[in-house]
Amino acid sequence: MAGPLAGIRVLEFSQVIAAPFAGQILADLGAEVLKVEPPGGESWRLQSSFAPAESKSYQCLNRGKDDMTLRLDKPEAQEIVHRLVVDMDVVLINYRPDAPAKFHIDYATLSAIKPDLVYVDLTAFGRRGDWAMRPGYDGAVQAVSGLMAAEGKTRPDDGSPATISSSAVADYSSGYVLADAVISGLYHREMTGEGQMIECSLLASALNLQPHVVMEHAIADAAVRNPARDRRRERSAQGAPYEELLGIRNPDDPHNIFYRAYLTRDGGIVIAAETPNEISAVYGFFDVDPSTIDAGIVGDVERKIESLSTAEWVTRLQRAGIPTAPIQFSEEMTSNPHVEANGWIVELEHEVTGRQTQVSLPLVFSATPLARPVAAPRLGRDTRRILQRLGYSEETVARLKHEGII
Amino acid sequence: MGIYRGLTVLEVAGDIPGAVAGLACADRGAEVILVEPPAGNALRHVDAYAEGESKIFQALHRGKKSVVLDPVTNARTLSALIGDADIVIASATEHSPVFDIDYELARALNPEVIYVEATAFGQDGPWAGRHANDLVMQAFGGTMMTEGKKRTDGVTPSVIQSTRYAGFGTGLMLNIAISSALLHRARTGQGQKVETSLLHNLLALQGGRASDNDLADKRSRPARQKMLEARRQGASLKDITRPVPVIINPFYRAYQTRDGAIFVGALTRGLRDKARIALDTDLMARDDPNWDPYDPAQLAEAAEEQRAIEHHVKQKSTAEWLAILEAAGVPTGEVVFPEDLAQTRHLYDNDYLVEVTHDTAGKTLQVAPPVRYGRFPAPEFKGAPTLGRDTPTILKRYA
Repeated sequence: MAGPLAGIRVLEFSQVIAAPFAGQILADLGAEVLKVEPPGGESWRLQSSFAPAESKSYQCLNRGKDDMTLRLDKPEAQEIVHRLVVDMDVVLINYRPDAPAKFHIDYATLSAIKPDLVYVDLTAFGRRGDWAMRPGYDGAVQAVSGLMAAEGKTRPDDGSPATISSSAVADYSSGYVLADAVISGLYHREMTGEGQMIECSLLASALNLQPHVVMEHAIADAAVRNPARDRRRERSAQGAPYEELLGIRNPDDPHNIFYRAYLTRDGGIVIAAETPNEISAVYGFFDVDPSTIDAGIVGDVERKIESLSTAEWVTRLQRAGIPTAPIQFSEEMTSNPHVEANGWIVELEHEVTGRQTQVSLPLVFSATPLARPVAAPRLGRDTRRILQRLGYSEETVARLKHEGII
Repeated sequence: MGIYRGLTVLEVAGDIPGAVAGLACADRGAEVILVEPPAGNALRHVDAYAEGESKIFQALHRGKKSVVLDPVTNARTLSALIGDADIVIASATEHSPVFDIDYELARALNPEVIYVEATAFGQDGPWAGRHANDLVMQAFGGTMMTEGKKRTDGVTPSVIQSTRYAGFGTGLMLNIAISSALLHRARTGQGQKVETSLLHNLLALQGGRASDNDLADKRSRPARQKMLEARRQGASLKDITRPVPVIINPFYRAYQTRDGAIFVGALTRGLRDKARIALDTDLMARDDPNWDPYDPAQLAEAAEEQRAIEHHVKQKSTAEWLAILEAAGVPTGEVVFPEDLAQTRHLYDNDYLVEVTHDTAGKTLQVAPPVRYGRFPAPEFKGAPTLGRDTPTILKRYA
């Protein structure tokens, strides 16, 4: 056993991204994580599957876990959970808001069996208020949290808002939030002996990716934010189309030459000046007077940058103290020399589908080094072993299987 | 009060990851001392509305104390503060660190200290030691290309602007570093150093994209290799398309309504069946066993049906569609602007928006922490400190 969570046992009721990702982080940190899935597999195994009940995304969110199948609407399956939880430190769950109580795996039920349980629950919108019982995924949360409109990306077909797609940001950030909720709950238990229920939501995570944008501040908002907001509301009331509202929220600044992407001869770069010093360095470098800048001057800068290679620009701009980087593709990351030098991509062997690489956990511990990760389990791999550990006979296991309970 | 009560945290940082990590500690009841140079923490100057005061600083430093130290003349005081800290947060991802500290120094002063550190690019490789803001990271880490937003020329990528998620994500990863190191110290008495980086987190937050899978990638591999080869040959971005299969998914996307926009969030087969009824369409797409996302004829047919759905959704208001989709059991939500969230009652019902009073700015409305502990259901929030507000009281401890 290795890692700071060595010896910790986690029972995970999870689907899709957020809680599976959190459970994977806990497994990477050395916890023993047992994932419970319905007998047909959770929905993420079936989404874009390339082999029966195996998808690439699922395999990248569930490494290092044990896996058992249970049909949780059956009392006998619930009985198995109640026997399992006695030996668990943590329950992690991201089912629909009404599911835990329905399946008798809610905090009240399980903490009666295991009083010092750390029980961490993720809903889409939080457990109070009008939306408490609403199901939801990343996209819906991007919409109601303001992230989608703030991003201002639109679909090429009809101009409707487009989802932020480089990362399912509400889901993945919730994975981090949940893992930290579990571990801080374990720390509290270590210090006091107390368990507790800890609540998280996709919506709260999404708000915490833009706290200064959501924040209301009478003094700071008076000059720009509130007038733009009022203008947008006025146009919205007059029936203005969505793209016009986006334009009011996210005005284009065509003369900004210091914080944007450029094409080069063989790809692209960004110039990423933010501080006053960096910005004046950009103007100085291209010999541009910001007070007289116009479309023609911006075009000159664009053509100048496009005439040389990415490598030449990165060298020149870095020498001038201007923040810059080559524009690279996600697909290039697995063979990127810098990423390789850091050993962040690890090779795994999946028991059914074979060789794969994955991004390792982004933490390096000096005193509790992490073990090398192992691949995600096939569906129900550990069901029989776990039931035997609980004392179920071969005959009972066979009957449960026959009845579709496991 | 809170789960970290009694702990002392020294935040020696000037970036989003360090601020996010210190904020979680403060929200959990630790005493968090932000060490600032005389010019102030860098975030004080990002879109400042007054000298040394900005929304992002105030949003990410509530409940902390501010101590101004001169990096040279106050080095001894900094050492004394490190000697008394349970946790040191050292993060200088964007710019060179102002204060010259490292784990070896901290451990010599305080053997049980937990020292967490974020860098931009990690410890090895050609970019190690460099700094990076969010745009640099978007470009280097692939998210800018993957996001696929374009400037008006239709080719040059455009900036991801809704959230600096490499920085916020790295802050959340520092939280994990802190909680797991605290757990280990509580169990063994041993402190340690834990490191993370913006780039490594940005790769982790992209899910399976920065990973290869021999079997899963079989069908997409030829297009991907063609693209990588074009890149190696030095092709212009004008001549490169990412090898992404066209996904027709009319049941997991936003639509414009008569008076705004809604998101239809049917992610699973069962929900898509419900959405088909609610949206009055028989488009099966990926749920048709004969569906081939690489067949242009099928794609064209599905796109045609999708246009019909777009037209259909536009005939009713957002409120009407929310009612229809909710009644059908389809996950949904209105597309709202962040500046309108203060009007959303649900956020107050969940205490997601809380009133925080600042010494000079007065009452502000802030986003509450994303974790609600059953043992501490109602934390109290204090405003961010003005520059150096707590210097006299903290220095008195070492007089």
